[in-house]
Amino acid sequence: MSKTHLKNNKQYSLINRRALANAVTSAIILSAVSIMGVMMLAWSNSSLSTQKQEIEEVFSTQTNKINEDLIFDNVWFSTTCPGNCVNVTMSNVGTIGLNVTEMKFIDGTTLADLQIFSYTDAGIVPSGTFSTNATYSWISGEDIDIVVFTERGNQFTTQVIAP
Amino acid sequence: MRTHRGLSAVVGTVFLVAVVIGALSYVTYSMNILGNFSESLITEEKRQKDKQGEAFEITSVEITPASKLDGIITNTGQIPLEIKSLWIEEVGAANSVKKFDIGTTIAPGNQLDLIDSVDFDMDAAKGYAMKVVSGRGEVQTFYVNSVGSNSLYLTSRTIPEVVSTEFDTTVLFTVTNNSTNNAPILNLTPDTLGVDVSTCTPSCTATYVSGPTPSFYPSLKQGETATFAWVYTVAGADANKITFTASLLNGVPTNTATSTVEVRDIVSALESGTAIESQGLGSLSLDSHILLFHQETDRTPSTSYLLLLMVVIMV
Repeated sequence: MSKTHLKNNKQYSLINRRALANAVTSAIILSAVSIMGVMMLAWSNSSLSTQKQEIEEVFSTQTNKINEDLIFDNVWFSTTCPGNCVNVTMSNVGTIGLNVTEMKFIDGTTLADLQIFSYTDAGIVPSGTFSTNATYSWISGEDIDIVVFTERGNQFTTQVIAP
Repeated sequence: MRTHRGLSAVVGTVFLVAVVIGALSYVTYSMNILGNFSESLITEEKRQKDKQGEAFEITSVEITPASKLDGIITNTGQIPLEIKSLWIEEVGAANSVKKFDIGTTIAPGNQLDLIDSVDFDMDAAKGYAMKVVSGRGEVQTFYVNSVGSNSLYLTSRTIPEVVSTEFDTTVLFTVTNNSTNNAPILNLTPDTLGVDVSTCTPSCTATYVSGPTPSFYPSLKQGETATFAWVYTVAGADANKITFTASLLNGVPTNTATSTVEVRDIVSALESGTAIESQGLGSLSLDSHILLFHQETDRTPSTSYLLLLMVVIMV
């Protein structure tokens, strides 16, 4: 049923105007909802992806840290390096490869740092071995703690006494 | 208006489904990550358990006639064992470290003969520190012909501590492996027994008879004790003292044990603490059914007592 509007004794039909307004409004609402929905989805996806990545990194780092294991095969004191040095041989007995980044000699009595050695090419595959001659003027009877740091943040310690 | 509501419901449903799918995928992903993490933990725990179940023992070490190292490593654990490498260092000799890659797997209960894997010239008079490394990272150190750099608990005593001149005394020397490095000592050998007669007046002697018995201990693990014995015939004046100093071959120089025997004129057999020997009875090849009385005059004490010996041979 059509509706009429009387203005200044003239009758106007409002059917077409109302229909147009409803369609436009609906379109606007639909568009707005769609845009908000898409934005929300995009945000949630992005946020979830970021969180997934963070979780993956954290878990993989922690898992790899747990699986990383290193032993000191042998530590011996040499005098022909030339000069005094300490030969440290390590083996990777874990299930994944590891990178030795730093080795530190610490005084076993005072716990003071004696010398720090940095490495950039000390990767060890599983069951592999890494040997290094650390130049250090050791004194007979000296108590030395050797601490080895890996790229993942693990540290392995042994203690030796110079002959 | 009905049409509009229907459209909104469809759009809302689509988004709801998308959100639910996203949430589910996130949860599934998280569960997978947790699963992987748990699996890693289980793998690591198993590896540690295997490492704890791994056990091996160096049961013997000897030098072949060609002066080569020979020895037996026994897998005493419950799982297969890989002997990865052997390090040998001559005690007291700098820069003498040698590494031998072995890489042999031993089944539980089986043995590895080192002569098949290691070609190393050994000197019986020298001490060696050796280290065996397994594939799982187990390291076992042991000493051959040496006690390493640690002083061990040594004691010594003479039995009897007081003897008459021309009588024997036994020097006992005990070694306890009280080292804290848990390293067994293989071929534990005593050094030559030192005899000090410098305090004797006018002079005395300790003549070597036998020993050490045994000449060496094949293996002395942590907490175990070894005993060596020497027999010496002591001669001297009354109240003379002879000091014996015992030590270990390739041991710590200051790690010694001393004991003393005193020479005394024995006036009563009960005092001697040992069986009296007759020096004057020359022949033991007597006929049976003979009762023999003998008055001992050879090297008897200067007091008025005489030694009477009765030998009864009954067959």
